[in-house]
Amino acid sequence: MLRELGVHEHSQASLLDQAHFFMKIDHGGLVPREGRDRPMRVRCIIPPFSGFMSSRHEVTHLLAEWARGNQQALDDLTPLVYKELRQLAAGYLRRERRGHTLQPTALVHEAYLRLVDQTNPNWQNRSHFFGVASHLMRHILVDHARRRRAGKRAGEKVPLEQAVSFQQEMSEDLVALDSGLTALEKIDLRKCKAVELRYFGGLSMDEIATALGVSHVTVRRDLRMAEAWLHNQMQAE
Amino acid sequence: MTPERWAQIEELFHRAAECDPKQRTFLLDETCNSDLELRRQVEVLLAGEERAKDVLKAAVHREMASMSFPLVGQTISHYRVLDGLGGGGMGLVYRAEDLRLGRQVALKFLPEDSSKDPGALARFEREARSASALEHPNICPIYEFGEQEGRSFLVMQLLQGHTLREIISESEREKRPLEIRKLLDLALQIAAGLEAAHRHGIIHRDIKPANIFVTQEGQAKILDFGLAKLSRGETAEDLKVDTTKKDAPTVVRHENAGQMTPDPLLSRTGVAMGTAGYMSPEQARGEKLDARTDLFSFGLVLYEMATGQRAFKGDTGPSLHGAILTQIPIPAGQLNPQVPSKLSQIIAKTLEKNRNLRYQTVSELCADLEDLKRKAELRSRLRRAVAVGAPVLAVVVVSTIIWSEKRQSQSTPSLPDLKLQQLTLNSSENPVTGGAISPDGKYLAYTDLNGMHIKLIGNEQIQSVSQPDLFTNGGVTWEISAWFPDSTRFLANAHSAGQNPSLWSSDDTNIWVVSVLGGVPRKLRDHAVAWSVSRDGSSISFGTNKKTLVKVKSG
Repeated sequence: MLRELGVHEHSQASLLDQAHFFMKIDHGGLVPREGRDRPMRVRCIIPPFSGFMSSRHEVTHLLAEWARGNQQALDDLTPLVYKELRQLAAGYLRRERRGHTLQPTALVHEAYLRLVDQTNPNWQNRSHFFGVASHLMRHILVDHARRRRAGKRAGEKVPLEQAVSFQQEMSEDLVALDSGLTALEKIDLRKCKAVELRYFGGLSMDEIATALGVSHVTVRRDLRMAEAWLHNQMQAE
Repeated sequence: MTPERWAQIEELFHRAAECDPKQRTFLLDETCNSDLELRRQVEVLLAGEERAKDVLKAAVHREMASMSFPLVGQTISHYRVLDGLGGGGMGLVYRAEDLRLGRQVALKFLPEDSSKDPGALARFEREARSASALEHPNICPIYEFGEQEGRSFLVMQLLQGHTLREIISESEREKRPLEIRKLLDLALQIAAGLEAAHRHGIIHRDIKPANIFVTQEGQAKILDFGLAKLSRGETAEDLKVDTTKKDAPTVVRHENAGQMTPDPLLSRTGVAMGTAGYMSPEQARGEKLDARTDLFSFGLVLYEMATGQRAFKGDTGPSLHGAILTQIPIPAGQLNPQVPSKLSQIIAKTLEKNRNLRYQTVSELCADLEDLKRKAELRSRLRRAVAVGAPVLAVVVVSTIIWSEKRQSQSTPSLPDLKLQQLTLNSSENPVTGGAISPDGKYLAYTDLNGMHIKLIGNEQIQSVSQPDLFTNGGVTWEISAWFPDSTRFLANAHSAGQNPSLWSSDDTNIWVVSVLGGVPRKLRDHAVAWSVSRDGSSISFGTNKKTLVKVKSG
């Protein structure tokens, strides 16, 4: 199927080849237990630079391993990136400036700079990293949305007049987008990846093209179609 | 869905999306033929295409926003959290409703690690309480200290407006420096708050633009008294980390993802560096501090208000420290020609490295700032008077200047003992339109767009004058004319509302007597404009429609 969709000659190194690993892992399983059991707000403060140097070498190494086809590398990489993203999110929450909302793309980019050795930049490592990180970013967000929704249903301390609130609607939005992406993944994996890289990783069209090993025009078309389709799915939900 | 079908839908979607509406119908008619399902699917995609990007972006953004402010919607103690207001180095701030008192407040959560040291927390609480107890209009009051699941939070007055940080950044973005008048006004307010705190032995230690709030009414409020004591440990630690990290600068990408911005203020050490940028030399050296440290930091704030730039720049904590200890900033007047040279000098004096050479107290600084403000006001009033073409007023003002300058050259170098005192707190939407102080100096009678008011000077109490029945539906613009010598009554002219003051005539005006003891004003005469009351209070002069000046004996 991948070949039919026109995977291009870089495909040995392209993100798309590795992307099917994600399909094997069920969505719950991707999120480390620790992150699921403890609500976000309790984990707001994390000492800065915890394990900074060691994970930088480790992540760079694992990305290289993965590029060489070592499938175990992705399994080892995932929790490291996930942890960094969660820590960065928590760190941002502490010092977020007035009127500014945290940007997922800012987190993913900062995680990249912190986790991947910059002295010897490598486009493959970069692509792979953004592939993993934007996917995880999606999960962090949907996890948050689901937990919030569950909290409301379980009758957390929420005043009656807020039972049907704006808050709830917004979590539905992201959950709907996530289900749409899950459905899209089965129909057209590349488009799903393009959306993840764009919306959760903040990559430019050119960067996505490099990451997926396709042309700029293809990325543009992929996104246009995927956006229209996902929007329709979200409305239908 | 088969891959073939998917490919078919996509192909048609792209082709149709490129067409104009007419061609599109034609294309769909032709291509879909009898395949109505294909047509429906493509049409659905086309219909939502325009909004799709925004909907996706909004879904991600909104979830992110709620992650940024996790407590929204919860009830903490007796506060219902309404929404996130932002946060600074010291933690998240929420808007909340006090369910007991029914008022809105700001909840500020302190960093988790700060709650761990009960001694530091107690010291902070004590200091914040004493600053709050001053009940000074330029210090933001703290109502309560609370704790939720081991996290301490403060309940503060909810302020509407912006921090000075935002105001400076905004004016920088628009390339429009703060007006000197506004700068001096804010500076004097901040100084007043600081002065009150210092007088009670409270030092702020972290004066910086982000800690000064300016309300919509233009009132400056100093935030976070005592908080610096809590954050000090963290500051030192972060800076230490930073020195080991020179080879790996933290670069943060924000807002537009296309551009990398090395922003040291946003980096992980940002909390410390933001503060480090406003430290006094003695603070940077870790010496024992006194109130003069706040003066230095305040000088840095003044510098930034005047120039839009920081006096000391540095990418890392150590380089900033080095700058604070050794560099002499470019004079503010060189960066912004609008800055009077006197202000440049004042700022330079607050930024003396040796604290013995600085202003020693806030009041010393205040005196110089007030002097400057008075001169600036006099100049602009003179300009305005001349421009309006009110020669009489101009003569009065000019003679005042000549007189005061003569006096100045004769005796002491300082101006006569004038002391400015702001009497009203009107917003720019509702400006004061006129006023007169009673002969005994006790009352101010003044008018604004809402009507006529009497204020007991030196007291916050303001009494609005009741409208006579005749005017209850509006239709009147009051103009205060003159006080009676006994300071219990004054004359006011009621003009027809909506008229340009330059067109006011006695035809549409009548004279009223207003008593400070209350009650509805009493009408004295129709179709006339009152001018003055004689010194013995026995006569008033007024103009009538016959264009004559008349004198009557008052009863």
